[in-house]
Amino acid sequence: MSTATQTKSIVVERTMPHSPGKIWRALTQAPMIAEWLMKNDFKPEPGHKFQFRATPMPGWSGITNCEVKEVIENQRLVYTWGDGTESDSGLKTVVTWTLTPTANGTMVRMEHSGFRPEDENGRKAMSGGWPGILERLEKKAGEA
Amino acid sequence: MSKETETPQAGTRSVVIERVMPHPPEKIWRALTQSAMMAEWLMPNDFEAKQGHEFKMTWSNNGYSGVIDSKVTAIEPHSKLAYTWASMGVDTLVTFTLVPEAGGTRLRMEQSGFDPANKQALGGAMHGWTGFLEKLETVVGKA
Repeated sequence: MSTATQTKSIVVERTMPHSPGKIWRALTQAPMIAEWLMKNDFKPEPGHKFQFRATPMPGWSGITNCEVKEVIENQRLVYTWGDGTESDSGLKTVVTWTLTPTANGTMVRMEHSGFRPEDENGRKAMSGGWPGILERLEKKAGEA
Repeated sequence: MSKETETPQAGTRSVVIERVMPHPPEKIWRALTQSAMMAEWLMPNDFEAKQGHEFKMTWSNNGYSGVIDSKVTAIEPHSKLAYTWASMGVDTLVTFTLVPEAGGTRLRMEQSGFDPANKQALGGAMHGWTGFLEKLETVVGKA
């Protein structure tokens, strides 16, 4: 029997009427991230460890431990989301942001990958949540 | 007015939060006991306001998710509601008490039965309930 685990992703794409540079700022400046996503201590430096903080729930501290994996200015940002220690569920996922310039703005692609079968309830809920998060990102990027 | 209070088991800890809300007990009671209203301030659930009713609450946030298994253990309309709360190996009891006051109602929430060593569960419950009760007041105010 194979021990390989089949994982699933969430992919959300949204074309925003802003330059990649403007969206990049909203994606990588901690106070701006707090406005469209969550409180955090993010820095756009590979290897930087940071946390997102939400309301605690039974069995979960409300903290999501993350680590920056890749930073290519105005193009690509990758960070881990969950290090397996925050809850008994052991969630360990990855968020990848890709920015591609278009004629009138930028195509923003968010992929949240690594959900195991036991993470399915969380994946479904996040699938419903990410489109609204990208909508807020677009709004905040426009205000910057 | 309810005088009876749940006595926590010896050696365990409780989280207690009190909040005075500018609403009559009946109005707060509805938000505490109607499933659809509970979903707005607490979690999606299949609660019914019946002694002994077993129900589940589900939550998910940031990709994390969980289920809380509960059972109604006390129900005294407009004054007291208690249910068990079992999740991730932590078994506790949640008791709401409503006491009318001039200008509103004093709501007391006690979650009892925590292992004193489980600081994370205690801290999480304190922070979590503070947020839930804020939302509860908002939901009651809209009703």
